[in-house]
Amino acid sequence: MTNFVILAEQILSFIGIYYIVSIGLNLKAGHMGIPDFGHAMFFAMGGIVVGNIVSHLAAAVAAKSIPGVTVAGVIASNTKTLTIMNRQFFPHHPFLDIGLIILALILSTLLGGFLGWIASLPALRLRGEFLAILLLTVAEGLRVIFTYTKSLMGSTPTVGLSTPALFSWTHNSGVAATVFTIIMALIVYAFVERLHNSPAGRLFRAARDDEDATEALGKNVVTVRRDAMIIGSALAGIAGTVYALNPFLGGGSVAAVSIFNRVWWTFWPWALIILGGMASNKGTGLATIIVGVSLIWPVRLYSFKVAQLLHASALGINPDQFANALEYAFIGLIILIVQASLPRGIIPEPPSRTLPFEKYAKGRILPPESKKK
Amino acid sequence: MGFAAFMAPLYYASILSLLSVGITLSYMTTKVFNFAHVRYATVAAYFAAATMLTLIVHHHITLNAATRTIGGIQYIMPLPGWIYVVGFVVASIVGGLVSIFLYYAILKPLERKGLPPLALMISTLGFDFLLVAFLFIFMSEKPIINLAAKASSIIGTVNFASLGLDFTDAYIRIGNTMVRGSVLGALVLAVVTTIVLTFLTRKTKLGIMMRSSIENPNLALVLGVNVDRVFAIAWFLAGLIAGMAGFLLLFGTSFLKFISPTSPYNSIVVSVFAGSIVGGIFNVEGSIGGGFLIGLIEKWFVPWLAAVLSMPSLIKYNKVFSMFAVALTLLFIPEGLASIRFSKFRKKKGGGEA
Repeated sequence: MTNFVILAEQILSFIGIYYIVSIGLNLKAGHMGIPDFGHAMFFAMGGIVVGNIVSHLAAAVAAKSIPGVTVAGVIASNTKTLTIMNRQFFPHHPFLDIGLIILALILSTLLGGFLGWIASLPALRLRGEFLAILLLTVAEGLRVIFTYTKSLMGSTPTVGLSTPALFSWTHNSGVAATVFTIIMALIVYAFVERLHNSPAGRLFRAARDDEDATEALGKNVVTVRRDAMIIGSALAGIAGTVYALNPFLGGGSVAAVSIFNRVWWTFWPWALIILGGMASNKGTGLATIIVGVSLIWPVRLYSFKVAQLLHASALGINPDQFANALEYAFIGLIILIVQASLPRGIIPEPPSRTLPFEKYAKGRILPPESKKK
Repeated sequence: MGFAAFMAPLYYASILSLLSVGITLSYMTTKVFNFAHVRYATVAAYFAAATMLTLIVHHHITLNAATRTIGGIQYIMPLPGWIYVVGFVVASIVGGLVSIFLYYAILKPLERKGLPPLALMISTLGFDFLLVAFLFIFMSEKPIINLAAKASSIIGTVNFASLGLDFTDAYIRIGNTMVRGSVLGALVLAVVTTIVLTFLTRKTKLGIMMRSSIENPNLALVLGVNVDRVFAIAWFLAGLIAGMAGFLLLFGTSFLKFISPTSPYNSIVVSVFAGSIVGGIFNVEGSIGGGFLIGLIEKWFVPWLAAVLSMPSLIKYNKVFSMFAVALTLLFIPEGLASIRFSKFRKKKGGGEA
């Protein structure tokens, strides 16, 4: 039973976090057509907010009452300070924890958006693959800065910063973090669905499809691209915070820099939005659910057993490596098969459901896709 | 500064230029940035290593660390020369074959479906993941592990999984220093590649066909050029050169971690893209120079700057410098350093790019 709960928590956390990351990327790449191959840097920003800023704030409060905790100790002796705080401080201050969670969300939105604004400056001049390569390079450079600057993300690339256990005041912090993740994903879904149908969202897609026509109608394409970049990056920042607060998937206890790599947080979201369909919020959700369930449940859990079976058949493959290989092959095959057979994704981009559209649909004969409502 | 201090930067710069030129070749022809390009080097390195280990085990070859002299030149060659040759050939052919497989099996069908260049770029990413998956299985197979165990009893420690191979490097005495064979090989190969590619693209019929296909594929098709095959040859060449770089990486132990699949996305990919873009994505010779430049910036200029400013921690941030190089190039001279007409600058007295 407990195994089942942990499995469910892992799957749901994966789905929630990846949904927020992917929808941020979808806003940029799908709705606006900016090929952002540096998405991981905005995600890492959210991790830094939790691991660095929130820990400092909490330590400033805890230093008065708990011995052994100092503000300087958050970076200098990170593991020790955070272990003391996680045991003696956070479980007993529920309101402070909730406040810190809200603060972390606000900060990561602002910082992710700010970083997105900076990244949008070159995005206004370049197009297509060149922009993709530039953003990839910038993200890598930024990752190097994050990795080796001790005051940002701890001492070594693999150890990183321990994160504060802000859900330790609840009865079961794992369940609480999972519920929080899912609620955040739902809020983000409601937001992007609203955005999709709003004038701003329609403007994004108009500017993507025909820049000249959009400019002829009096809209500034430059600001539109900048706005999409800021909103998408802010969503990635939120995802980073949610990830760092979640004790699964390697986050939670330790926010290592090596976690914020471009495979997990740039290329996998790309695979997910390609599978789900560009500019399709529901499609991204469905893709995240499919990949989340199949990756965590059959691939990660049973690849070991499959490998053991193959091991018996004299192929002689190391089960550990086989599990790794299966994960990579899974993502690679998703990208290739979907691009070959379903270039528009499993749920293609829906039409905008504007207010007059709904009125029209209510009064007259319903169009086929709106019958569900 | 002696020659010895230059060796590691030169080696790295040569490898980068060999990999950058492949990115440029494949971009020029199909307008696709190939994410899987650096992985060719890894695949080629693994195949070359497996072949060489098999030969070593089969022929019971032992290491020969003695200093020998031929024609007055002192050298150390731990393994017989023909093993290096076999490894080199295997690596380059495997690299070329993987590249041509990507072109014909994935890119061509997707292109025919009318996918935009960006989608094709993402499909090379998918192929890259498949290669990583393949490597994870390949390097942990029983026959390979048994092979590595046998080889380690003959030539010393061999850890195939992390490419911790004991292919001790060869040395040649030049002047007063013993120069590593891999360093010299990388340099020579970079120079030879430049010369051969320049000759190929400018003087031969194939090169003219290639340039015309790049310039106007439809017109070339009308004139009877098999554009598909010409592009496939370009991709094969790109893979071939990447395979050579992979073979050379077998000997530079400190650089092996760049291509090991256990750390799948190390930053060499970014440096290679940087080299290709800084040098000029539409210019083969330019990209070789660009790769060289980025390599020297990362491994020679940044340590020098760190020493001058007495900030030793600066060395770790060397990728940030290539990041700025890419950003400045793309924003101000999008066709790369090769597109600058330096004669213009002399008249105007304008400043060049650092």
